[in-house]
Amino acid sequence: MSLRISIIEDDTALRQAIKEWVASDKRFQIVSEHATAEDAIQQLPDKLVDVVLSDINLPGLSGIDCVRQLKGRMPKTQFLMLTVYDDTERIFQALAAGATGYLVKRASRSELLTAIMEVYRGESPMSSGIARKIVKSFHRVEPPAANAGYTLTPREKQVLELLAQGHMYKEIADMLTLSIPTVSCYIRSIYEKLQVHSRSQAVAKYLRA
Amino acid sequence: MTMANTRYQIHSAGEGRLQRAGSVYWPAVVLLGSLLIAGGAGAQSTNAEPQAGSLAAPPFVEFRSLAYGRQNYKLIALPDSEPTSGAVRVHRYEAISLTQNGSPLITMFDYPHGASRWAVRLRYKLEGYDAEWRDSDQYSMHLVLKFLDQNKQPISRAEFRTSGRSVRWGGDLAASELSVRIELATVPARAVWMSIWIDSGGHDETTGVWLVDDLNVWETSSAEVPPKNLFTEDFEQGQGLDQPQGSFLRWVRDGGDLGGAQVWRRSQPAGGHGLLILDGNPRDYTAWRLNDQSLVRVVPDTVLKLKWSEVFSIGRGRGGEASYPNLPSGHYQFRIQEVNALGVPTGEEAVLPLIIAPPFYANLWFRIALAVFALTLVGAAERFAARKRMYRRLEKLEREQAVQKERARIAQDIHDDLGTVLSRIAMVSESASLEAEPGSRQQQRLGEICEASRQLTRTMEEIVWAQDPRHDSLDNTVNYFCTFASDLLTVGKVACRLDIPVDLPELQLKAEQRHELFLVFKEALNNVIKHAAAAEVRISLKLSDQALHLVIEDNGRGFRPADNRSDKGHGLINMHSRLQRLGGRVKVRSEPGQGTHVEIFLPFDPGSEGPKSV
Repeated sequence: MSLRISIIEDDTALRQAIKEWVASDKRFQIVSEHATAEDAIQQLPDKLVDVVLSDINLPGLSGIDCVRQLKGRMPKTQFLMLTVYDDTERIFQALAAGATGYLVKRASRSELLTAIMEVYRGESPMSSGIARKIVKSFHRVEPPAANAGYTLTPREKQVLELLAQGHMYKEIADMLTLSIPTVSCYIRSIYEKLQVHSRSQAVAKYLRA
Repeated sequence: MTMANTRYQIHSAGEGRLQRAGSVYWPAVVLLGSLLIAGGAGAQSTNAEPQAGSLAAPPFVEFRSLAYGRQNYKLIALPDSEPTSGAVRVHRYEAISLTQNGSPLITMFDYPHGASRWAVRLRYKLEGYDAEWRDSDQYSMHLVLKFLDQNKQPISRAEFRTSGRSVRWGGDLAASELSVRIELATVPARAVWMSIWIDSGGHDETTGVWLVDDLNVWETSSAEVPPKNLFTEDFEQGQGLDQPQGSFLRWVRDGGDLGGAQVWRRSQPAGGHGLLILDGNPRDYTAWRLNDQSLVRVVPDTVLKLKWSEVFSIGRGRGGEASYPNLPSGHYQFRIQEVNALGVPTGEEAVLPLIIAPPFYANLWFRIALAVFALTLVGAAERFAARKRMYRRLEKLEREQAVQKERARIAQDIHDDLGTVLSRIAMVSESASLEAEPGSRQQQRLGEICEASRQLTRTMEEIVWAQDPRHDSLDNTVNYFCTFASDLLTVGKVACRLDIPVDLPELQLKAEQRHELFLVFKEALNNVIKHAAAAEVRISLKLSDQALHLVIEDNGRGFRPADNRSDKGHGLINMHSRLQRLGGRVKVRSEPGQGTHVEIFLPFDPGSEGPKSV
């Protein structure tokens, strides 16, 4: 069974190229393509989609808003963000909104396909810059007691800190005597908690305001 | 003119004093005082006995007005109280308060309208300013030469005025010494005869005393001819010279009040006599003149030289005006006093207290207020300046913000349009190369296009990242560096260790700083990958108040720093010049086999007050 893929990208030529790349591999099948976030929000929840490739920088609603609205309604779907530039801030926002991976648009075909597979398998990439931001985010505000279950476990913290220090997954696995998939699993867990954490942070901010 | 129904008198107090003062003199002098008063009134005077000295009597001297600057002040007489000492009646006035302004002070005083008698002589003194009593010097007595033609008809006159007090006046005649006076006159044409008058003035109000003795007249026609004596008078010939009413041989009395023309007798032992004008009558004048038989023959155009001895004290019976041009601030008492002809007080006095306050600007409170005001003004000016500075800073901020907005817009445009197009080129060309015949020239070229556009995206990304003000924070910069380093080193198969504090201070870095710093950082990492053959790179960041220390150290093979002709050398020079532009520096330590240690030092705000808080 091939992975069901949707593409959200406003540039027609890019969308076409991505579509061709994805479609050319038997592991994937294109379910839908959308030029705007609004269109995707309207149509995607009715579809079964495994991985959504979404541009961060869309006209109208941004890719970040799009993920925030869709993730709640499509919890099983993974969102891989596409971005022209390696913009830590926006990638972090997208991750906090519900994305689990990201890729710069200059990536080659094989890099793109690998990234889709990794995201689907729960092996989310996390750069040291993103790791730093996540660490900081959890440092900043303690989540409300109701969300106590969503604070990071000591192991997760350890992984996150090692990532922030620039270690690669393999090194982390070696240092913590874990397998690489387990490290990946921790990272996925961190992403999920980041989403909850971000939401609770937003609520805390709302309550304080 | 003599007023028949008016009498003049001297107070008993005044007389008493005159007696005491004149005790060593011939009693006639004393008598004279009474006589002149009585005489001034004329023997005919009968009615209107004055009530001087009695409390019920109205005041006999008064202030009429006071002017200071443009302001006239109303003067209010206080009710008279019991005489405090002797028989002196002092009429007091409400004090006048003035503020010193440099104007002249002018006071008018007189005896009151409707007074029972006329004042004999009024004098004044501003206590606190004047050392002595002052007489009005506006009125004078005269020695007049009257020139007559052959028919003894008047032609013209020469007049020598006498006013105020003679230099050796000592308070009364007894205490005074004669002084010599010399005058010149030219005999007019047609003059044949000359008469001499000594009188108490053109103004009837002139009162006072004038003693003349040893009068000589010489005629000088030319320088060659010695002066010729025309007339000599020692006032020793006459009848009844022991009495004031005696008569001189060559002189007759004249004027409206004959009693004031008297004979004076010097006290013992010197003896001798003199001509005396003792005018105590403010409504008439008195005179001695040569009698018609004693006229002096004169020659026209000759110059006459007159010489006589005299002593005098002359004032006026009416009130007058006292003027003080520029009184300093202080407390004063303006006093007017009635005296008899000889200057002896009669016991009537009026006192007007005057308080001249310092001008407002000399006042202590004013000065304090002024100082406070000045300070307030300085404060206000300072606040104004501060506000202006704030506005300027605000303006600068706004300008900076506008620039940042513009930078953000440009970054956004590049991001959106150029970035997307470049990504498209990369993707499309890669797609094309995948479709092309494997190993073909076409596929190779398409691959080159693809790689070129990817490289361009990366470079653009760096520029856009540096230009976009949203990335101005230190935190963002560090994150970018971390991601860049781990990506690059992962590709280069070099382990990366980051030793960077998680919580960074909220500092802003300028676009230029971020860009140059990034290029230096990139250069250092590229050097590691290209030359060091290192297994691990350690990147650490430390912050001080003013600067950032970024250290990149590897465990590679190192190099000799002196070996600067190589690529590495060029790279280092580049790094140096980039950091120098920002006021920073880079230190590179390396030894063959010992790895390389690159330390980047960057001040946040070169030449300024340190890091800028966000």
